[in-house]
Amino acid sequence: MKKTNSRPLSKRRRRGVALVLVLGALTILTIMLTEFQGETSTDLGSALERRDALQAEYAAKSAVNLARLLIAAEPTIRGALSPILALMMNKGKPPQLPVWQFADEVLGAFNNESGMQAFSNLSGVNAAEGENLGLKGAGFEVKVVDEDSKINLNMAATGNLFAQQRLGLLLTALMRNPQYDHMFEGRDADGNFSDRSAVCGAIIDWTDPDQNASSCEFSSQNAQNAAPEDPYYQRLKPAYQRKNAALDSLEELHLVRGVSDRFWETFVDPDPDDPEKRSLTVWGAGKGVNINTANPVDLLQLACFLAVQDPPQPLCADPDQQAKFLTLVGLVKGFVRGAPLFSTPDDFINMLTGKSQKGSLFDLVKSALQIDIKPVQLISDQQVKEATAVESKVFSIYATGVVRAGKRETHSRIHAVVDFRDAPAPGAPPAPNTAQSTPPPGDPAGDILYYRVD
Amino acid sequence: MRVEHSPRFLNAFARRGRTGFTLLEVLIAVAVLSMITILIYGAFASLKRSRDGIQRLSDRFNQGRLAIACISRDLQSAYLSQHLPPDQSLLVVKTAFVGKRESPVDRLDFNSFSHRRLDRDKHDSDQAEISYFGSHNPDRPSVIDLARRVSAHPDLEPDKGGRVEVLATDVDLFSLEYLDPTTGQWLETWDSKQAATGQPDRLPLQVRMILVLNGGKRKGRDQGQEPIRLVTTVSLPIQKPLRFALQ
Repeated sequence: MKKTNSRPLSKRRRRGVALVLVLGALTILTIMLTEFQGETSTDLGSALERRDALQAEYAAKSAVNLARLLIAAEPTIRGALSPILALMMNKGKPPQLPVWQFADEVLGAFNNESGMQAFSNLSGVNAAEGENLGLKGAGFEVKVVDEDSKINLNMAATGNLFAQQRLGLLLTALMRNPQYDHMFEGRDADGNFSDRSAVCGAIIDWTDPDQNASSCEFSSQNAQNAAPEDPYYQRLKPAYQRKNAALDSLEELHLVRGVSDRFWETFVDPDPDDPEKRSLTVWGAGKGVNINTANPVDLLQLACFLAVQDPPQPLCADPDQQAKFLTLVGLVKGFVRGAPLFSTPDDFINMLTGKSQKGSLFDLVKSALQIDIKPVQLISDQQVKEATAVESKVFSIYATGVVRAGKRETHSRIHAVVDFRDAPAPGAPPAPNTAQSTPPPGDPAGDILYYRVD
Repeated sequence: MRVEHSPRFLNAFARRGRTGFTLLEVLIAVAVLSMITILIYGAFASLKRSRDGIQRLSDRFNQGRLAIACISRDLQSAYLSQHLPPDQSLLVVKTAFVGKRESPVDRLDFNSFSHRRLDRDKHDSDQAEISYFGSHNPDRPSVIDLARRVSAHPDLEPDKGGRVEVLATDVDLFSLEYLDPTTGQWLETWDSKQAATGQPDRLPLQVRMILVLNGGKRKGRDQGQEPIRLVTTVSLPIQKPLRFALQ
């Protein structure tokens, strides 16, 4: 039997129209709401990202200011510890303490929870119990790098021929290794050939005040400084001119002939996340490399620069001797955990010439591990004293502010370079207001030479 | 020929006839449907207008905030350098910080470490000459845009060269003031090049900026919309001219 619908046909038709109307309205509403929700989510994400970026930037700024405070407090800390240091070093005035190497841990008391934990591990003091200490919702990572432990590219800027030669030898030693041959054999990105000597000379020529071409081939004295500087930079597109003055920032080196990105990654900044590995600087105080904070490789290069070339010294010619030197310095540095190795440049001279005091740390490690390093014949003690220093005055502060919210992590990085050469001694009265013609007094927390937010 | 219909067919036809619409019913139905459609359209159109308005306002705020962030970042890395060759004939770079009062957009020219290298092996550094100034909109000459000039190769003219980009459109006001660290006063202009009337070889301690953007279209239904006002103060950390290599 056929089943019939009891509802009238007209009712069914009206219900169908209503359904179409409702479905149509619902579809339009759904599309609009989806679009609206998408836009709102994007706007919210953008607003949150901007809020987090601002918070991260201010966390990084706090880290920079705290690091400046820590470095400025070093003489006070040194004064408080001078009796203990006098006993340890056994002579002279107490050396500079590299407090900046522990900046991340020491400043942890003002950081987020993980920073406070690091501070507690270092000091045994629970910073979380302190009132108004620490950051909520943000944190920072800070690394302070001693610029005086690096090769200063601005050495040649004063026009001093000895300084230019010193820079040339240090750069040559940096690029000497045969594994870098391929970098200097082909054409560079500009289509030119730039060998080691050309690049080294170009770096010196960029900063030196004269118009004579420099060469880093010091063994051949032919035509040294006789030829004029070439018009290399005028042939580039866009063309520019060599500066004939000091570099204002390290990145200015990109303008110099032969400094390609590969050169930068190999010799200038091998690991942007670890600025300690950087060997070159433009901000050094200029009085020489700090032998207490220079890394072992830079110390080896410095030793070879200061050693007589003829006859060749085993330390500079024999890879086995070089490996032993790097091992010895690395072990002693690891053992003292940042404490200064040398009170004066004389200690460095004694270490190189094998005249270290009996009972000194170098002597103890050498005898205990039977590391046999041949004595080095130096050009002159005076030259060593001029090329080295045991204190640092210029520091790079790399501070990264971090804000974590759910899966999102926002970073803001600040690189600041601080110069403490003009900083008044701790406790000194504030300098009076001076006339505009006289240079303003130094900031007790160091004068900032470079500042960049990324 | 006569067609005989069955009684069942006639019955169904009569039922359909009874359920048909009269003209009045159709007119009322069309009127009701039209009213409903007009109401729905009106609601949706109003919603869309409101959303467009909010979106435009949000975009304007975003544009203003991004402009302020960009200017702040550039200003924080502002510097002056005294690393000059002893022989002035060899001088190839001059640095400056010059702020001029102009209406409605102030002009500022300075050197900064804020430039970003984007291309591999390009001879660019972090140094740049940067300018902020007002520029007439090419499509609407009565409208002033805030423009940013950047030259990646600093030269002897710190206020010329490089490329120009629009930072914010339709600007009502861009005003800058400079805090003099020696007097503690806010100044309307700054000139690091002028020995007599300016602030030779000095940078301001802070720069205060006011950016007022027109809130919507100047003509039409949004006329009279409230302008967007953004105010901020930026500290300049590098206070002394650079001469660290000469000490």
